[in-house]
Amino acid sequence: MIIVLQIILGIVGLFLATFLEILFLTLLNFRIILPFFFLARKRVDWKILLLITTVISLILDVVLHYRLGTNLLLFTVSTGILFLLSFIFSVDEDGIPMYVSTFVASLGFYLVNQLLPSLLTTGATGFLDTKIFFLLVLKAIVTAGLVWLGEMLVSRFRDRGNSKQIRLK
Amino acid sequence: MIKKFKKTFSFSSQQLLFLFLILLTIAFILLDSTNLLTPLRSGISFLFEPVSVDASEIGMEIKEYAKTITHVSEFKKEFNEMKIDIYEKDVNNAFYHTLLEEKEALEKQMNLAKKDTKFLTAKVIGGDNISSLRINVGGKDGVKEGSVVSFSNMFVGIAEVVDEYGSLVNLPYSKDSSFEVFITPVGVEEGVVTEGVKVLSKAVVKGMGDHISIENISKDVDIKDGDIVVTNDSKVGTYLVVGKLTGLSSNPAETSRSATVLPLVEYSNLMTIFVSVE
Repeated sequence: MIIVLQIILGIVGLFLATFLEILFLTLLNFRIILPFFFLARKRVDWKILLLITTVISLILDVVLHYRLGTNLLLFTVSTGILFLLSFIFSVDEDGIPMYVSTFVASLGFYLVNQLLPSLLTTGATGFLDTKIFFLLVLKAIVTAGLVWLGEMLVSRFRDRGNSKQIRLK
Repeated sequence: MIKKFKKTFSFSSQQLLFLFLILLTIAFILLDSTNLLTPLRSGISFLFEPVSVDASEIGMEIKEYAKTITHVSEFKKEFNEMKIDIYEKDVNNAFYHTLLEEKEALEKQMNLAKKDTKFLTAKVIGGDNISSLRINVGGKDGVKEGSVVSFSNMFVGIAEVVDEYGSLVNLPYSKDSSFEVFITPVGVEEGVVTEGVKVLSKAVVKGMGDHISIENISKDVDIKDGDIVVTNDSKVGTYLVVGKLTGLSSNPAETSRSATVLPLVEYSNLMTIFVSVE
């Protein structure tokens, strides 16, 4: 029963995620799915995250008319950057290094997003100048900010959960 | 030893995620270049394209609203400029209309009025439009008490009060207004213009305040509604059309008939009129 409910919730969640992603993409040219991916990376089991990321990426590839695997490549790039940065400092522990690495990974995501999709579909890279680059930096900062906000909300929620627990001395 | 080896080369979840993401990415990109994934694309498109289209449309609408709100000061400025522009155009338009009206009135006067009479062009500047009109010419311009005011060949009234720079014209509706007239047929019978002016009857026109009454119409002549009433009075001095007959009485006990005169011009619409200054 719980599995059925989870499947239903998952399907509804996919529709909702697609809707929100396209809405934000049309409104602000911003990928709202990215902060959620960073937040989920530490908390969700990697197999489930891989499944969700793959499915959502395929859906977004189809609705954005990209080559299949393009969005997956974007997530791979940001995960790769985080993986490489993990050799320098801790990317999973809450703190400035984590947000810096999130910013760098987001910037990588947006840079590849700017250049790669048209390369895969038409053979020519997307246009990038200083102005666009600064916009991408701004988006990466916003993404890091949203991750920070998400972390704060999650920790507050968790604290409240603890306060309700009965302490046994 | 084996355990130690396994522990040394075990992958973290992040590494595994990265590894599988790379593999899946390569697999999908390669497979998409073939036609193997076409059914998958079609299925996803069938399910999620409507959601995407809806989200895009909503996003565009919100964007438009946001754009309107952020540019509201610009729109306001533009609106004010357009308003001023419209006012300017309205003013110009009104001015051109005034000129056009004056031109048409002058043309009519030139064509229809008596050529030997000197006319003074006057503008209606007020009055109650029922019994009197105020005009912008007065004694200084040569207007005298009793001067006849006309519009082409139509009678408008008589200058009753004349000041230096303006005059008050008594209209036929006024209770003070009374003059002799004659009644003539329309001038066109069964589509043919009748020759000469046929006087059917003489009568007296009196202003009643809200309408113009005509009395003392001869009972024996064939008069009908729509016949034309023309001035025939020494006060007016010339033949000018007052209006047409309407509501002709038909009481056999009466010795004469009476009716109402309907002016051919709407006095409230007059802007340019002419005062005879002989």
